[in-house]
Amino acid sequence: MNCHAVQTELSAYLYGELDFASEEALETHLADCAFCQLALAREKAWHTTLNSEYRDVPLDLLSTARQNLRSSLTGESAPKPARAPWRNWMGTFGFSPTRWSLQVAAASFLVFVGFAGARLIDSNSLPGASEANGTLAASVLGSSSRVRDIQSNGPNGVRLIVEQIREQEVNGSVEDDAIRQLLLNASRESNDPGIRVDSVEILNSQNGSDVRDALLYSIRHDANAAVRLKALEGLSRFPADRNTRDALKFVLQHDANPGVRSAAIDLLAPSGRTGITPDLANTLVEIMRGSPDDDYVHARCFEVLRTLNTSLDAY
Amino acid sequence: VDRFQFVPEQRADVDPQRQLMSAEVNTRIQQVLGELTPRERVVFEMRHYQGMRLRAIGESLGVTEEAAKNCLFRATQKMRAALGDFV
Repeated sequence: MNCHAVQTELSAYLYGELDFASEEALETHLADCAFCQLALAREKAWHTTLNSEYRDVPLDLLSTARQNLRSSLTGESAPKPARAPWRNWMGTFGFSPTRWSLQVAAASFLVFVGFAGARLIDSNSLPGASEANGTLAASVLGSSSRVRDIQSNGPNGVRLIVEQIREQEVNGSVEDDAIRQLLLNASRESNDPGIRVDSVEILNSQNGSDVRDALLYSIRHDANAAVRLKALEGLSRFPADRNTRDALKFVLQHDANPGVRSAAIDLLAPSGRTGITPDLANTLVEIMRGSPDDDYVHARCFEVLRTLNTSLDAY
Repeated sequence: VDRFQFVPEQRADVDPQRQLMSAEVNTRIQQVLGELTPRERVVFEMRHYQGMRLRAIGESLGVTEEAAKNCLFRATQKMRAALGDFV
């Protein structure tokens, strides 16, 4: 064995991986070769260096791993949390709730809640509902609710019968009786002046005593001047009606709006009108006497009466 | 006079020069191990740090003992060349 072969096998020799014959031959050569002895010393040196410096694994890894393992085993072996009291209570009756039975119970409860909620909402929408607790009272508050009856119920209790109007869309012809009645009601009872104006405008194209009465009611009682003016337009189709004349006379004498009074006198005594009846003449005379400060009304009445050659001394 | 000032320090962890040397050697070792091929590194670490026999290494890697020995030889050559300046 020469020096090259010996130095090639030095690591294997140090690791003890040589067979008996190769190891004997290598040691025989080392005993007589100083150069190979030096090479062996260097080989041992860097082997030692590797052993002393290589510290990939922390020294406390083993203890840390054992500690983690112990804590994990302790956590797993810890007693499970005690059962809920209600489970123990159910267990006294011999009933052990499983996972699926709990799910079925929860589903049944949700169905019951939904059914009860639907019944409650449905009963609230019916007129004549007998429930009157605080929550219900809060739910029926609104402009569409109206108290129909009140009864005392104990020292601090009260029983209310609440009417609640349900909003509903209705489509149909104006000639339809139901729609006609709705329009008549709207022209009188609606809180919205715009709704009353629209209702009167639609009714102006309709005939009938009910329409005339509604228009007469509007010019006498409606608080909005636009509604009264619109009703006067509709009454132009009933100039000879006595009730209409009385209403116009009332307007001329009592309406605070000059525009409404002017429209009323135009309606009652239109320009160029001929055939003034004695009844109309008397009405105009009464108006002139009742509204001396209204120049326009006074002038119009004077103009009409002059066509009748009525003696002005009478006024 | 504190006579202990003249006593050489024997502990390596308190000698700055040895600390620096140790750090450099450690860095060098990690660098050389990183430069080995995956098989060379596995064989070298199994033999040097875990003390496994070449026969067992060959069986573990599915190679012959001779192939494991040749792989170990290449690894030790690279380690020897890299760490020659430190020994």
